[in-house]
Amino acid sequence: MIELLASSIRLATPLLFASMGGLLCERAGVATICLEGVMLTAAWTAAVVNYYTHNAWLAVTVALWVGALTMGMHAFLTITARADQIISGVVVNFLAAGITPLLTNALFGAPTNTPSIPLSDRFHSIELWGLSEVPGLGKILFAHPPLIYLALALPFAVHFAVYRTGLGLRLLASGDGPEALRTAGVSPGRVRYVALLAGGAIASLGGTFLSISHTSQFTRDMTAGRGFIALTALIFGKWRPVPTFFACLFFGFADAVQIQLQSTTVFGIQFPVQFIQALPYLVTLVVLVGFIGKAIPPLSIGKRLG
Amino acid sequence: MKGPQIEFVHVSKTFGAVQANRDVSFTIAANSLHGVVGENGAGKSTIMKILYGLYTADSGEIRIDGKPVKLQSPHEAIALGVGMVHQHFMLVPTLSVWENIILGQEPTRGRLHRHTILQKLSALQEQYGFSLDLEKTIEELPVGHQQQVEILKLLYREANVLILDEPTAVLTPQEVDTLFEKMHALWKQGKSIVLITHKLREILRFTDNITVMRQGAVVETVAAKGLEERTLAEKIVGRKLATLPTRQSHPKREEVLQVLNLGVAGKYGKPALDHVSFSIHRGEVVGIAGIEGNGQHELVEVLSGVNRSYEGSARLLGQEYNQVPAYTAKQNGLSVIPPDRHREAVVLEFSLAENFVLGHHREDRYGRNGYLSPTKLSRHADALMERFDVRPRNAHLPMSSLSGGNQQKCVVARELSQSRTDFLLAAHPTRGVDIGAIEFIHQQFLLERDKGAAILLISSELEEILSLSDRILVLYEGRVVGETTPSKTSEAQLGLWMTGATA
Amino acid sequence: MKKLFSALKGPVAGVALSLAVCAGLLALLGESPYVLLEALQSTLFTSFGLGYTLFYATPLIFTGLAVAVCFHCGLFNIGAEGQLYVGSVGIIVIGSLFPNLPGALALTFGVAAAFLFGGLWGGIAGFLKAKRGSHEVIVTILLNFVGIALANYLILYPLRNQTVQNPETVELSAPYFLPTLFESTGLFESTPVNLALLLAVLTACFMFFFLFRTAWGYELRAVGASNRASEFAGISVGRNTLLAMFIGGGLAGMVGVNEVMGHQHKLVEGFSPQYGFTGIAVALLARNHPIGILLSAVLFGALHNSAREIEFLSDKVSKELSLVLQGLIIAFVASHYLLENTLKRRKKGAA
Repeated sequence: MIELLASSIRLATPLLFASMGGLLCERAGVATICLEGVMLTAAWTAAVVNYYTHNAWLAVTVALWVGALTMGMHAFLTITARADQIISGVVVNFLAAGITPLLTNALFGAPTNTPSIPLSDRFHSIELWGLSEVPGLGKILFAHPPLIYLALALPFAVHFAVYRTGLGLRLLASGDGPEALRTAGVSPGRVRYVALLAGGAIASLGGTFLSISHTSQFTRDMTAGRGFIALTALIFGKWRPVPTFFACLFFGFADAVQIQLQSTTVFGIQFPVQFIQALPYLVTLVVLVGFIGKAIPPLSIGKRLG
Repeated sequence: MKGPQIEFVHVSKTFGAVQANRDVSFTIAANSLHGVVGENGAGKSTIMKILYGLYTADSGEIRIDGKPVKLQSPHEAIALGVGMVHQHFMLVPTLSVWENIILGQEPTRGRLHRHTILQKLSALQEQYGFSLDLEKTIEELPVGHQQQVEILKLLYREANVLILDEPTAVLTPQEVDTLFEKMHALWKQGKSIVLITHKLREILRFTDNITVMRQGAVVETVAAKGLEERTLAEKIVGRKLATLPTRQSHPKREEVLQVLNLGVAGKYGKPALDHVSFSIHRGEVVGIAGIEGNGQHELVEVLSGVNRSYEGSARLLGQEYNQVPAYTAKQNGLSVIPPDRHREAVVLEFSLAENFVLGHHREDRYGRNGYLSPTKLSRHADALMERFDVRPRNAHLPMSSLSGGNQQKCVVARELSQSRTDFLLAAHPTRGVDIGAIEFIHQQFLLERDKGAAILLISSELEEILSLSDRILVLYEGRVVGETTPSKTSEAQLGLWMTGATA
Repeated sequence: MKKLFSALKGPVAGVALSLAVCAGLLALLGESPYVLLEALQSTLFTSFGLGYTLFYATPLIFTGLAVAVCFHCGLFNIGAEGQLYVGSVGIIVIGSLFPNLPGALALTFGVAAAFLFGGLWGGIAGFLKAKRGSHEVIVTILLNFVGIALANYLILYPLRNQTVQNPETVELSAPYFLPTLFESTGLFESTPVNLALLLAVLTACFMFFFLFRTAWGYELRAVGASNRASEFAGISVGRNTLLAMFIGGGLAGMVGVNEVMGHQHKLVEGFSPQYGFTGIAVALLARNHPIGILLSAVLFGALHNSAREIEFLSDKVSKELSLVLQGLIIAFVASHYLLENTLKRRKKGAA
């Protein structure tokens, strides 16, 4: 059970980064189905940088920029080129899904994965203040690599930034009333650019975590729909940081159960692995359809600026 | 500080093929009450938006206190003390009053200190005589208060020139009085007020100087004192006006529409419509007066067949609305002019020909067994455009390329050209339509009435209601609070009812 | 003619720009950009290459239409990938249930099964959108994962061909086979392009007729352009949402006709090189016009074919090149506003 909960937190981490990044973008008024693509380019970058430089923090930093730039492309297409937000998201996902294996192939001779990063170069678990010795809770909360602690703190930081600062006010106005913001003398386009670059940087950490902390290499399409699950968590959390945080934990838990089920039998039945693997998506779907009442998205989302 | 003197010197502006402003020159004196009037599309909003930095002029210049200024954005206009309240409020509905007021002026570093800001805003409210609840969100405020938030926003930015674009369109007569009192007080404190409107009575009452615009150009700037309403109207239209014929009362005939104890649930557990009952007979026009948001919207949805889950009863020629598919009702004598032209009455991306059959597209005359014949559609469109004088006369153009007036003519044409119209539901039929088209649309209504249609007219223009209706009902908070006839009432009386005051 | 020209201007410019960017990318990867031209030349202008191009174009016509019909109803169908697998499963299911039908009936059953199964899968998203307001983009994406997992399960367990190692289903019986073009016309020797291509072309023509010449298509497009105006016209938004997603899913399901009935005669795990997603690019490039989709599907078929060829010829480039090309083409087409404005400004500057 303890292992299951600890594993839930690990699996919730990429969702947390992605949904918090997505939150900034969507609250600014830009639909962001390209979290998947952002995580993918960041995951690839982090794996490659970590492999060549043996420096995990450098990998995080470079991937941060690459993630921001990937989302920057979404910003350019939707804000400057006035493309449809969903279509632009599809573009980014296509390009990320295509370019990462192309480059992997060019660098390492095969498109499927990058070489494994040696254990010594990767992130290690940090046992915070010896708290991991606390029975039960300790192993669940306090024996993780650094990115996980960051992920757990992030929703609260985002909450503060969005609801308690001037920039946050502009962000909310950009999403719920861009024309009002414009007449108040602030360019909503600029606010959206900033929000998307920041959101991309945050979401990038989700990809980075997958390739250099959770595993030790980049594999093709390794995000496997997590960007979309993060998006559902965001909807489930009604675009608010703290509820979204819990939604992510829930989806992380579903994923952990799925992995556990693959290796166990329930009532003497070994479920086919295809069923089990579809479980997180099914759970997400059921949550999306069944439990989310009328979620009201940011008012200007999906609309081009006038 | 006194509001500065503002001069427009030969300002021109075109949008695509439309010349919105043509060589506009006039002066707004320092600390003045200045009016700008004209029909819809006369260019009055455009010239003010240029002053506010939302548009840049193609040529000409603006001088403030004699100095030429370049206004590239509202930011620069605000810095020069020019502020504008738009016809459609520029507020973020989900944010609170105080957040909306400081938006764009807030510190962008560190956290927002709510208490300091609230204190500062309270002082501001006191100075100018406002008393808004700063912590409520905009969504929760009545329209009149939302407008006050807009004005406070400008005062917070220390604006000395306040431009009000059609400020009274959404207000009751009483709210209009409050607004003008507040504006007068601000004028006394040295501010300049610029009022843009098409309502002549208001501008004559409130302003000292009036600039009349027509087709993008300034006709003249005149003193308001001693000016007659009719003279001003003729300056605006550029010709003599005809008067609508007054009608004689008709004997009551068959009951067409019967609404009995109609109820519709609304937000926050309050009913949007509450036991509404009335009926309309053949050859009768019933007007619904009321401030927007008092149940008109829900009434329209029920009586057009869009909302099928209501309580009580609404019958058209004896048929309960939710027993008949909405499409079928439209074949059986129901005609609807929906309130929001762009969103509800037409499909902007469709061609005119396609729009002319909207709601009747399955009829055999356009093709059998589900086939829609393009030739039949365009022939039908050509005939209607001829009869209702829609321009340009090209059935293949998308609806979006037409002017507001011509779009509305298309809607009227479609709704009044069906095999029969027993009941016409017309919601805001002349909103955003120029004076010429308004005359035309009103004439069409009276024609239908004389042919025996029952008409329900919903409008925020009391003048329109008073001039067309046989009976007037007043809606307030989802209930009918008054019933009268035009000869027995006045705008002031209606206005009182509209705010819930009992007669 | 002028209208046709102006309609084609944007897409052609977009494709040209994308190819140019892609050539640059090839150079960056250390490969000669000419490889792209060579590959395109052989995939479009040799009988063998063109045969394969048309074979790839056939499913893309179906998925392109699947995306487009939903677009016309204001819905974004990203679920064609899942729908096409479920549709393909349908053929195998019906094929195993009724193995001994006479030829024409078998073919009809096969096509109908593909359409129905795919349609029902797509219909789920339509139903959820209409009844619960769940956003179709997220629902169709999630249904992709579920649909593919479902198909894989069926391929690996109940429908599996136990006699071979590969994850694939039992073979269809012969009446369900759709002849290749070579067998029926003698064209395109030793390529798998088959009569499903003809079916695809006819379907596209039919969809044009349906969308623009019938009251049903009219209603569907009205809902897509304006929900509110449709309601006021007595058109049911929910019913049309469901209908569009059903037709969309069904069209995607018909990919199975090409793959299963026309080519493999069985269902192989992971056979689709993302036809469903490429359908988005196909539809967008054609601005959702069914006839335009025919052209655009051939183009993307050729690009896909070329990418495979390049992968074969070069050790520096893998077939994901076609994903990049698709992304670029959509990007350029979707940002036509920017392109047009820049061109206008240029003209103004020059004048």
